[in-house]
Amino acid sequence: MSTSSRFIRVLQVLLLSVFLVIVGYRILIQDVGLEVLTPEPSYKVTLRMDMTPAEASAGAPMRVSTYVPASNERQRVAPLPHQTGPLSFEVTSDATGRRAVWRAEAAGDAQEVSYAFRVWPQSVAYQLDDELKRPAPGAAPPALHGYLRETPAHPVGTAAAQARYERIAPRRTDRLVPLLQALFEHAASVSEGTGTAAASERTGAPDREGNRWLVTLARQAHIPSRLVGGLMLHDGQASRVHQWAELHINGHWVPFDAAHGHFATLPASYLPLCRGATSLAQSSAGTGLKYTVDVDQSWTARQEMERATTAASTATPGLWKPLTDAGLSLDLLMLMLLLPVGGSMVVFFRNVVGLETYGTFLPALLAVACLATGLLWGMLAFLIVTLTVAVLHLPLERAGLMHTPRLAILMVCVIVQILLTALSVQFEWVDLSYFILFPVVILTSTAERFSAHLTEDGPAKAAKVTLMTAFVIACSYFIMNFSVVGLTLLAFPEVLLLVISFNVWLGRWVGIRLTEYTRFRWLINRHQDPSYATETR
Amino acid sequence: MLQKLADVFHRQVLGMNRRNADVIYRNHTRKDFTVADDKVVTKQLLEPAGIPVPQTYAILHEIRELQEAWERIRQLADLVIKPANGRAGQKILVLKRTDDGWETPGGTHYSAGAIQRHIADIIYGTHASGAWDRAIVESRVVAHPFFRAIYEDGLPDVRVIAYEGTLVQAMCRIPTAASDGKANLHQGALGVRIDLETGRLGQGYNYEQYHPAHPDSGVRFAGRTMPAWDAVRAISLDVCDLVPLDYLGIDIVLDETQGPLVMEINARPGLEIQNVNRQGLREQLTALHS
Repeated sequence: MSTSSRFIRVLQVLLLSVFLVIVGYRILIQDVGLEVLTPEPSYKVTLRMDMTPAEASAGAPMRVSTYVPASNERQRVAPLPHQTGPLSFEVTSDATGRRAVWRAEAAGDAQEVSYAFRVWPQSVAYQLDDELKRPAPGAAPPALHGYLRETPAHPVGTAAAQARYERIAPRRTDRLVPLLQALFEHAASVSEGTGTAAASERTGAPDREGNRWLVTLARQAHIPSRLVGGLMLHDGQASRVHQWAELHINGHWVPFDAAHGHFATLPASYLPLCRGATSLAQSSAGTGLKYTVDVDQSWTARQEMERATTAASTATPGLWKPLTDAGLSLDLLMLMLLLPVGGSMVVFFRNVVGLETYGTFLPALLAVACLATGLLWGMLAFLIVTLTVAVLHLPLERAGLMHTPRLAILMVCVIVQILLTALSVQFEWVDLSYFILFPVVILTSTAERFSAHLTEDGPAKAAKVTLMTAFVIACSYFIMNFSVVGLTLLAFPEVLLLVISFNVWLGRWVGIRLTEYTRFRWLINRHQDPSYATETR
Repeated sequence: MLQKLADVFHRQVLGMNRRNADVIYRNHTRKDFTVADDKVVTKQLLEPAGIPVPQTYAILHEIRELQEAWERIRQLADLVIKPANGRAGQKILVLKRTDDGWETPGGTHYSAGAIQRHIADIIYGTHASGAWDRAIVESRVVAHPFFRAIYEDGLPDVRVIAYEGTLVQAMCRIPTAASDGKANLHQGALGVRIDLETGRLGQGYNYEQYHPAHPDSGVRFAGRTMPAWDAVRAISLDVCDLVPLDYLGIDIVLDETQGPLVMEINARPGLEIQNVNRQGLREQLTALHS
């Protein structure tokens, strides 16, 4: 064995053991849990309001508002750019919740406004202690007295409510939980009895009846309680407006949804928006309002990830905190960490499979760009660029222009082409600077590589390399887009040691590339074809 | 482990990975490669050692040398202009004097101004992504009648592969209609096996099949013996002695009057020659070592 082989062996052992030691230390000593890798749903929610001012109210001030969520211990909310049109916009808060308000001095044409945000909700489950006692009358602190009163929605203290309560409340016990169970079962039966499932799907109204009674009866039992309005999030446009109940128990607002059988629990898909029996969106008199909710669900472990990696308070010291404090987003950080993984994919495809690509890391960069734009748009942009270059290459070369000025002209054309496409397709891009600039830089360098291939190898070979590059981009994209890969790198960046180790192995691998089996098929089958030898010798 | 598995299937062929890792870049510094990569350096090494190369008329390093050199260049009846660092026949201009200027073998007319622009392009590096280069002006090689009888157009050449001072494989590359006069296998030229001992031609390979005769002219070449083969072998061995590379491809053309001339040296010769000869390089290189 040569000294270099021994060196490689030592290096590989070293890389693997350093990796194992770091991971072992972090999992066993620092107690970094693997749950940071478990994906959780996050929702991109767009609340859309179409306003149609009535003829009669033309010229009168117009106002439309909708409740919007805030971050709390159960959910993290990141606002996304909203759409206001010519209207003024503000966010206000009151006892019922946070409201996005749009105003116009004078109602004009129909308007569409929207409010968008991304939310990472968590499911909640409360364990109610069996020893808890029913609250005595007047035991609630003064701040909560409002949640015991009679209102139009909650006829507390009326004969009807009194009679209903007497009928269902269990006797001979002063414990809270059996009482809550009895009230909950009753409310659930009210929900069931008030309409078919289909009807409640559409209006959402009948199944509020049960929760409304739950609040009324809880107040009858001196438990401060209230209705909560919000959304049941579903991917696409299937989200529903819903109301459920919150009962103040032992210092906590505990959720109940009698209509769907959630006792002291709330699923992650429930998004509370407002308190009280108000509607989620309101408009000034004389303005027609259409309220739609668009939801785009994706699975990320981001919340856990951020907690594990950026919060100094947890057991793990914030690994990336200095960087995120300096303004580097975790998204960008993850892309940077993913790049070597994509690069290794390209190396694998070049050296083991034997595909040819533009440059070594260009396919990896393009795959990262695709992560930002989506594979479809990324591939489309890649195709547009190569087509633009292919069409312009010959006339520019005929014109006898030198290579570098030719590239500058190609760059202008490629950028104009991309912008035209972006305009005509009307992407709903959130942040154009991020989504366009990054890929454009990479795509123009693709144009350069492709142009060089056209010059040196001719159109047929260049087209072949383009297809192989596209294939490698797609493969790298799928690996990098697999969220566990990115999250693993964020939580355990020492995985990069494995990436090095993999490339050390690839770097020493001198076997025949897969495509070379086809290329040298004449040779590999040589011994089965004796005619050749006899003819030439 | 994977390596051993791959070896079960065959151990004859030299693949790209092994060529790069074990054959080309082993034991060499970057400086060793300039001898092969830069045609000016190649000529400066071979010419004084008495190895025949096309006669050099001028080497232009800068634009301002053009005016002075032009006085000499314009006197030439036949000439070739090429970049020192060109790849795959890029920017090579072959010219013949006519009554009112110059002409390529394809019949394209070149004025004095067009030739000077071509030289300027080379110096500015239009073929090399903007890196500066030098232009070589040298004598034009006329293909030997042996090759002209097989196919009229273009300039065929002989590629010899040498490893550690031993000649390993050889082929000649004959232009075709598809290659447009170029002796480049990738561009469609025919690679024809040459028996190292005797100089006898074998079959020709063009990525698709083996031909005993030229596909365009129909002239059968398999079985003919190349003229001046012993001289080609001797020159190749001399080149091996001079060049500090273990593994190299030597490109030799056969001139009508001057015989074999070394055109260039390649530090990373292609692997296609294995298909042409139906002989794996790996088993040959391994045998040389044992």
